[in-house]
Amino acid sequence: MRHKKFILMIFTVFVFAVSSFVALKRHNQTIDLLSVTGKTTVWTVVRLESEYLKFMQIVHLYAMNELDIDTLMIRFELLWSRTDVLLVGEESKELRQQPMLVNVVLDLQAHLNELEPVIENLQPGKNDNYRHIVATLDPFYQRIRDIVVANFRGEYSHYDAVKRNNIQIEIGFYLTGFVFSGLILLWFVWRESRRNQALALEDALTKLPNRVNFYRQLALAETYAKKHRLNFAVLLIDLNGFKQINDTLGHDAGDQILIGVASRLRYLLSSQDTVARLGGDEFVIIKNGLDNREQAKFLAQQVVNTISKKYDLSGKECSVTASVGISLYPLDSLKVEQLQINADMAMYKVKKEQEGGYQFYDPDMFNSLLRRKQLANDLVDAIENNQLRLLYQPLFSFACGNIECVEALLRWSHPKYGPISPPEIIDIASEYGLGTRLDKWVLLAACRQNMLWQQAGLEKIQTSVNVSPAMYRCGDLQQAVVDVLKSTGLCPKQLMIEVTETTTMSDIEASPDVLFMLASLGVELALDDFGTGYSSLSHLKNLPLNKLKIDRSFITDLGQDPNALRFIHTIVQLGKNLNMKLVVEGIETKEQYDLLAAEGCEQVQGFYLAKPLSSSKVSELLAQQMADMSPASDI
Amino acid sequence: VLLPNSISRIFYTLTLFTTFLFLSLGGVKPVVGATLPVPTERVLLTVSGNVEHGNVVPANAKHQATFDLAMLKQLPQHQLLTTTPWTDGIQSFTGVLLKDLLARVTNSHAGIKALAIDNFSAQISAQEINDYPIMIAYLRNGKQMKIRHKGPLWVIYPLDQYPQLKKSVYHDKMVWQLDKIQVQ
Repeated sequence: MRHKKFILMIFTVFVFAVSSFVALKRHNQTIDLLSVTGKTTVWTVVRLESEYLKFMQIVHLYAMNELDIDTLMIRFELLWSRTDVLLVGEESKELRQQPMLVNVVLDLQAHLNELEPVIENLQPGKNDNYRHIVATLDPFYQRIRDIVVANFRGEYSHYDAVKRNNIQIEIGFYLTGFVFSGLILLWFVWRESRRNQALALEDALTKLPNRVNFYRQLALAETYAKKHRLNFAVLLIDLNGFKQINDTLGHDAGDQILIGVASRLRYLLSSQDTVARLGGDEFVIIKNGLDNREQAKFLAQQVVNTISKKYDLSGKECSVTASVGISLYPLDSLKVEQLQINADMAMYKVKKEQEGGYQFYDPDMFNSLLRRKQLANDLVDAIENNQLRLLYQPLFSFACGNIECVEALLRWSHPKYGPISPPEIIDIASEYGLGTRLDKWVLLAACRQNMLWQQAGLEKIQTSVNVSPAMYRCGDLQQAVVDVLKSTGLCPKQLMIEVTETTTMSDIEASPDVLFMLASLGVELALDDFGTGYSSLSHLKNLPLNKLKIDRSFITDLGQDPNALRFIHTIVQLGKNLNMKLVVEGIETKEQYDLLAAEGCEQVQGFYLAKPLSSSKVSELLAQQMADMSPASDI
Repeated sequence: VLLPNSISRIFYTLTLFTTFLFLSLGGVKPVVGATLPVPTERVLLTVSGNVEHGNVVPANAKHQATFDLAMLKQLPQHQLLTTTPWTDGIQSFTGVLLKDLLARVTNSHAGIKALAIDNFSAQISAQEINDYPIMIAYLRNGKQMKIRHKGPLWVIYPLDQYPQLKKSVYHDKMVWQLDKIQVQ
């Protein structure tokens, strides 16, 4: 196909070139012909006339005895030569197409030949010979004159006309080729440019408008809405679970899904609305002419529903969901750029909070975004300048009630926003790439504090530190721990790293070596929030864990749900069989404490026993503990 | 289509030109500077203007060089085969080169004006004279030319040898019935 097109193109260019060249050449020829024939025609007959007149004059002068015979003969020769010029040669060929001219010239030449002996022997004086010459040549005057006039008027240009006509036809033929091939070339150019334009404004995969086109449509929608005082909505759509399909089923499957989504979205909309693909798995809808919020809501629900229907990928079924953020013009913003940002914020909120669904933008989102950005900025300074604080929640031994361990808990009091909750700090840190720095700070501060307690002569206890998932992914957790232990001089046994089951299992799976390396350092490992996440029993079997922390949800259910205690019992047995220490956390009441006391957990943590405390408070407690114990030791 | 045509034209030109050169070799070199003899027969050509080696000094005028047929025959002789727009078929012209004739009468020139008996005239530039073997012919097909047959002298451009000369602007310079030359 491509090949054929190329040949057609070459052929057209060839025809164009040849016909323009030939047409130009023929045109020049015609011009030449017109000027040359026109010039020679008139010139040659005029010269005949003038030589005729001169000769007649010379004959007259000779008769009056004012000239010699040589001069007369030269004039005779010159006149004769003019007849010869008309009868011989290429230049006068066209003139010889005129029968009248040929007749006159032939007659004249014949007559001159006849007169030649008479003229050669002509004596001066107006004698008979003179009269004979004049009388017989006289009639030629009018005949020559007629030729001159006729040629001047162009009455005899028939031959020329035919010749010119032929050339004109030829030129016409080539000009047609010239114009026609020119038009074809123009058409080629036009089509190519249209195709390029389409490519520039269209997403190649889904054939939907692309990002550039979307901005154009958005500007149009704005102009239209402003002019007619109408509303419109921007719906930003992001697919959930698309990445997994791409990763597991391949990019072809991913492309099929995108095409499917595109056609479903198009089906939902009228021709006045726009659906575009912004790139990746992100789509956007401009819904024009909205009367109320409900309509946008209805459309968003439709979008969510239609996208979440199953996709049939050559026999294999799979599904994705959509997160939709909605922003309304002019309610949310008068600026279209802001409108898109708003929809984006709303969409992110959906993504964070639920699996698929839709949200309208509200100004709080903007504020929360601002807040997050501010916090992220300030967190950097806070880490640098030690403005973060650690509190320590003690873990008590069930057996003797002593503090055996403290869990380091992060606190940050922001000058503007006040205390920031630890999950938000972790969230912001991981979103803005500060996770590793934050963890290092926590590790260092916690280990240092532990050493301070030791240096104060207090009892040796363990400090457990929560590490964020980012540290696993970056793979420098091990190095960070080594550095901290080295710089603080803390015994590895006294450091416990807590791995959060819900969030980190996938990361741990990706790099199980990290935990083994930590274990090889002598650092203890705890699995936090056990029983809620996706942990499989094989994790418990395979990972070098020292401690299981039973999730607080089991504790909360104690008293209401008789099963809760049985669960705890089972988990405790499991842990014991796997040689792990068991910890219950979130103990808030005496009732809970009493219920669990018999279960055989090693350690207990909760508000009932101790809230998170400052380091000095922990010092006091530890000192107290030592004091309580010392009399006993004295005995 | 164009290529074979132009090649054959070049061949044709080369053939004619070789003939032309061959005939030229038999000629006599012009004797520059030698005094010009006085014509003994009827004068066919009068060269006036910037003439340095003339044979006539008219009253109140510069040198003129006059030539009769015998004197023309003293100059290097050339033969040229060509067609013309005023004759039928290829013609054989015999004569002298305008270049040689001018060298005989002057050391330098800036072109000439050729005049005919009937006072037709044409301007021929020094460059043309230098670039092309322009001939003053006195024989056509071995015969002297009467005035009625465009004689006795005829300026002939080598049209067939140099196709670029086949234009009306050069045709107009092929002055027949030549009898005067003004050297500039």
